[in-house]
Amino acid sequence: MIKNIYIDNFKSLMDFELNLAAFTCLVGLNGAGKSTVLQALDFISQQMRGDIDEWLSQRQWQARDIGSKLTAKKNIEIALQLENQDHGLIEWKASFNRHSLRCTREEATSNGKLVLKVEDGEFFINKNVSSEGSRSASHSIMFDYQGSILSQLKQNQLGPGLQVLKETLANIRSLDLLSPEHLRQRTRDSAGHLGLGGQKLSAYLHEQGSEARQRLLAKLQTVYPQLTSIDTRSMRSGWKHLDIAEQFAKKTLKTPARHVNDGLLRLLAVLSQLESDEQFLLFDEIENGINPELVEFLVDALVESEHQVMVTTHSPVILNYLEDEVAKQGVIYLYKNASGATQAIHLFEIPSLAEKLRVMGPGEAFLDTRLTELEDEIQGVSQQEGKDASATER
Amino acid sequence: MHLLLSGEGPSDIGVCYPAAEYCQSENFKPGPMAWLADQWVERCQGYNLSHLESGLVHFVNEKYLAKNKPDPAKKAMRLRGKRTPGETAYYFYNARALAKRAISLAHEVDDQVVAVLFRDADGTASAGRGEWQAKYDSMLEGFEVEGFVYGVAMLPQPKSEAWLLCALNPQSPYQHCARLEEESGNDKSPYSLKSQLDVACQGNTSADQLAEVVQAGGVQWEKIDMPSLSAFKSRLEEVVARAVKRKNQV
Repeated sequence: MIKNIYIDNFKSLMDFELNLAAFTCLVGLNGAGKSTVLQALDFISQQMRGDIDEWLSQRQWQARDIGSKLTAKKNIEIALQLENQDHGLIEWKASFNRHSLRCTREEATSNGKLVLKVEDGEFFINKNVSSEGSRSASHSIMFDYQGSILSQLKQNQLGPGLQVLKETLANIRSLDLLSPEHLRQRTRDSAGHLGLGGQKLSAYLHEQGSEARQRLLAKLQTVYPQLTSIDTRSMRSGWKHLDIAEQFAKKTLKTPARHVNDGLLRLLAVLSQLESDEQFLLFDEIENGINPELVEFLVDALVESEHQVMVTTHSPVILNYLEDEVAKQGVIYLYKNASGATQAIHLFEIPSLAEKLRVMGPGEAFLDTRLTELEDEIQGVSQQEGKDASATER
Repeated sequence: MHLLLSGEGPSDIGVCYPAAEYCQSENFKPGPMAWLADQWVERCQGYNLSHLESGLVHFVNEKYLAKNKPDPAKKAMRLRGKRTPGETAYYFYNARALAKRAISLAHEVDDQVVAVLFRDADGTASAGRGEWQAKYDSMLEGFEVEGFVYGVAMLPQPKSEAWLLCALNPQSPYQHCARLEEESGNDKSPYSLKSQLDVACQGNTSADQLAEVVQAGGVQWEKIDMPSLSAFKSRLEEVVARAVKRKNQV
């Protein structure tokens, strides 16, 4: 699980640090930087897949778009910590150069021991962290690449810590542009995952096989009892076609994906990802198209998922279905400071919200609060913390 | 008639001694605002009977109300909207929880129970946000939703120190007090009401000391003209009259 990320100089994220829970939910006013955080995580993931050009073109961005307008710094600094059951604490720091689209400096440690270093055109990897003596000598980097050097190295060249690092980050999957129009498209193949907007759903479900589709169907039937099948078929031309069937009275009605309702398609996409091999799933505005009756089902599926999950939401109904403890640990309030940089704070650590949560649900506390005025309180709290800290030092 | 009180701590309504989430009679250690409620009830009923001194008082603290909040009924959210302004839900839910306790207490003691809920208008839960009137209305709405007609909101604007300062300020007691309602409720601000009260009382502002002053009649509540206190006084008059009338009918 990724415990913590730090990123500096990525759009509105300046010197930005975020602690992550198994389920993290970002809230805040429009323009506070919620989607930017998802994009930043997707950007970090892409470092392990290489091909930053492709990542930029998928989003129709230029390299100059990803730096912050708030500073003249060239590089984007990244740091993160992840914890793995078998391999303990793994840390990675990288400095991404926006011209070469590569991490020109990298350092990774596994339980405190250095396992990777990239600097001045050279790199070394230490495969066996238990023995200081087996540190490989540095090698010159003789090839061109984008992102992290780990994107270019085969798994068997890496020690267990680096393998976990690469795999965990490469398996962050963002669906931050999920849209019904993309979900409806017929596609030929998915290469094992959905696009940012949910493209390739028909091919993805087809490739998952009938057993996986049956499992999805069984889950969906708990909230769509009339649903009788989720079928995919391969056309002669290679296109994959998605149909769903519903039973009304004694009639079975088959509907092609083009005409399936938005909510069902979105649920299908979200649930299929929760079943996938990805490790960290990101969804923007998770409530879109989902009617309030289905929210509990959706929230439970996300919170109980074996994957790490991050969503953004504007919906107090989504928040209200979180248990208080999950809300305390996972709901992050994003806001912009006076200079326009995105800041993060646990929503229910703000004293007024903590007090409200004692007598009402998390969604009610959120909705009841005038967010436009919340910053004054947050500033008061951090000033007081500063004073307390300097008093303790004295 | 019995009194059920709830507040934020020792310097307003009071606490249980020894510490507990609820208590009654001699186990309740009244703060200055409990004496205010008691004295105003005495005045409303028209004869000398202190509920605090006659064992007719019950108390529940904040924690008790939080634990006994109304059914979670998460789908039945209190939605902010045109009829429900923001920064009011906290007051609404506390009033509902106290109303529930008051109704069950009335059965236990087989008598009318008047409940007084104290909250600072500018306390932790709002941090300076929201309007006094909306918060006050939401407390009465909370009582009403539970079908409780003897609920009284004690909601000083911005906090109880403003009421006390009006009376205890040695320069011009009881003069131009409405302006105190415009001051910040933040205790950390440079001229906070708390520090002004401290100066006015020469540092004798512990919860015990203030309670003693009020108990001894050091504050003439009828002379204070502040909208947030007037709302409390008139609502208490109305509720006590209703309770007395009901008692006479039974």
